[in-house]
Amino acid sequence: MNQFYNCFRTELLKTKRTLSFSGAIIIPTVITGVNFLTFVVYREDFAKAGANLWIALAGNIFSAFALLFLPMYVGMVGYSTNHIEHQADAWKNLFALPLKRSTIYLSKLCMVLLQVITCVTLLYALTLLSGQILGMLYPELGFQNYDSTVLILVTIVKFTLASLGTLAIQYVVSIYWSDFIKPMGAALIGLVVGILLAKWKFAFLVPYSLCPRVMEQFQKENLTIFNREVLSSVLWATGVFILGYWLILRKNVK
Amino acid sequence: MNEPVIETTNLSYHFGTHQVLHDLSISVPAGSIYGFLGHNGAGKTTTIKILLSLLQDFHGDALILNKDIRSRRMEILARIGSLVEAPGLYHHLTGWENLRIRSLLLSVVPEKIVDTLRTVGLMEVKNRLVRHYSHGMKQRLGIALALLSDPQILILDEPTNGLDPTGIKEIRELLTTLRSLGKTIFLSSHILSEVEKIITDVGIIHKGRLLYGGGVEGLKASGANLVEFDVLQPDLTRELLTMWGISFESNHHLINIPCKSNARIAELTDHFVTHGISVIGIRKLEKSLEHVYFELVEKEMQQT
Ligand SMILES: Nc1ncnc2c1ncn2[C@@H]1O[C@H](COP(=O)(O)OP(=O)(O)OP(=O)(O)O)[C@@H](O)[C@H]1O
Ligand SMILES: [Mg+2]
Repeated sequence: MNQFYNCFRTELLKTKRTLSFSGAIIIPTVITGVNFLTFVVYREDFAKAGANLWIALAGNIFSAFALLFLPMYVGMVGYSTNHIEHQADAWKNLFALPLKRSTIYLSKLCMVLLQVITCVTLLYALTLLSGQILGMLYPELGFQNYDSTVLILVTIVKFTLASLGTLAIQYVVSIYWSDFIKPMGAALIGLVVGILLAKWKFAFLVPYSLCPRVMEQFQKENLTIFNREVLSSVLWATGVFILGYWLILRKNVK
Repeated sequence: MNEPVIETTNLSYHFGTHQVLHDLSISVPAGSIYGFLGHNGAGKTTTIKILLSLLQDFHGDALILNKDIRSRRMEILARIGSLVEAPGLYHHLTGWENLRIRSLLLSVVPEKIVDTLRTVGLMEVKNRLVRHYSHGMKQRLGIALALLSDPQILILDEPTNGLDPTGIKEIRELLTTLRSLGKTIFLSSHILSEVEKIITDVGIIHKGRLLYGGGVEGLKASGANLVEFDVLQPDLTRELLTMWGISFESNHHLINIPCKSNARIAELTDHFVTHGISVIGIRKLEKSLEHVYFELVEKEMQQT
């Protein structure tokens, strides 16, 4: 346990002077910021619509975030934690230390999860904050009359869980492929295929289609967390992580 | 005799279909500085990677401290400090931060970092990014990483690679000191002259096969000694030697001939005298390790 904690601390130290955590901060800030400005500029059109504008506000943010930024970000962090070792040619050092390979594998994984959680938590906070501010500045938009906190929270939790499958795939793939193009190319193709297949009957089995499907559920104001999309994602993640672990135990550092 | 700290039996390794180690059996005595010598591509790094459990799909056996590396990986690695090829460093971090990471992974107290930095002479640049280090500084940092946990066994793959003459001398002295503290050092190199002065034992590897393994003295004693004949008729001597089919090297009036025994020296002298050559001096030469090394490798090359 102590060894795991120390190993995790080294992962934090390694992110020093890298962009690792900036993505977690920049992405939510930019998306919610741009969306906030859109609401300010077009506030009269939005006010005319009259409905619960929390749904419109979060919907805008989510469609940019969950359909584009989250899948790319997940690929990016999965890639960068392993890329640090590839670039430094440091696997040979790590694996020649008296450390279990599982300790290294799991602490890197926790590092990736920490980054993703930072990102979604910030997104949640900024979404609520931007709605509150809009409500204060322009009462005619009616933000103060509705409360969609739970729906927004539930949906963000679902996005996070629904992206675990792709996270696992990207993480394991980037242990093996040291270059940038292959893992990120895989993420990009997955993203496009995922959106195209989202309406398919068996799309809940395709890890890259899960976020688009959760997006649809948000538009229907669905509050169930553990539906088949989320379960499918969690199963994918578990399977791929176990496979990755099996592979890393056998990995030869050539 | 000291019992071996590292022992391999019939180690073989394939990269795909290309076999790079052939039944390699080496034995590194406790408390020795073992020079593992061979040309580029001989299989030095591959052997080291097997010893460190980095390559797992090998054939044969490898024991370190009498423990099988396949089953007791963790216990063994806890006793080893290693440097494999170019040191794998995090270039966006400082030298100190690189060592800090290693100290966390090894549960070594941070105070040890400063000691180690002093040992390798990097104290002044410890807060500089490794990206801005010179080649030799990086190499020193790699050695520092290997030394950090004060391990009982050091496995160093070409540690002096890229160091300046002072640096090489410092590392040599450092290794000798470490040996006197009871550590065992396994050191690979393709530059014999750099390690010749400090090694006590030697393994010569060529195309994945061991040509010699044992003490340095034994290696020097093996094969023929060079004998230097000082003659007054060098041209005639060269002609005769060529005619008799005896190999030699010559430098003006000095002719060097490998002789297996004293009887051979007497016999040659007789031959010279009967053919009218005046021999005015005979001297047995101290054989350099380098000479023996090339002799061995050349002999092997001729056979294949
Ligand atoms: N990753 C790899 N894939 C395929 N073949 C390899 C790989 N690494 C090494 N080899 C081959 O294995 C053989 C031994 O290589 P090795 O690196 O062990 O040599 P070396 O003795 O360390 O040489 P050097 O002095 O150049 O470092 C070489 O023929 C090399 O081509
Ligand atoms: Mg090598």
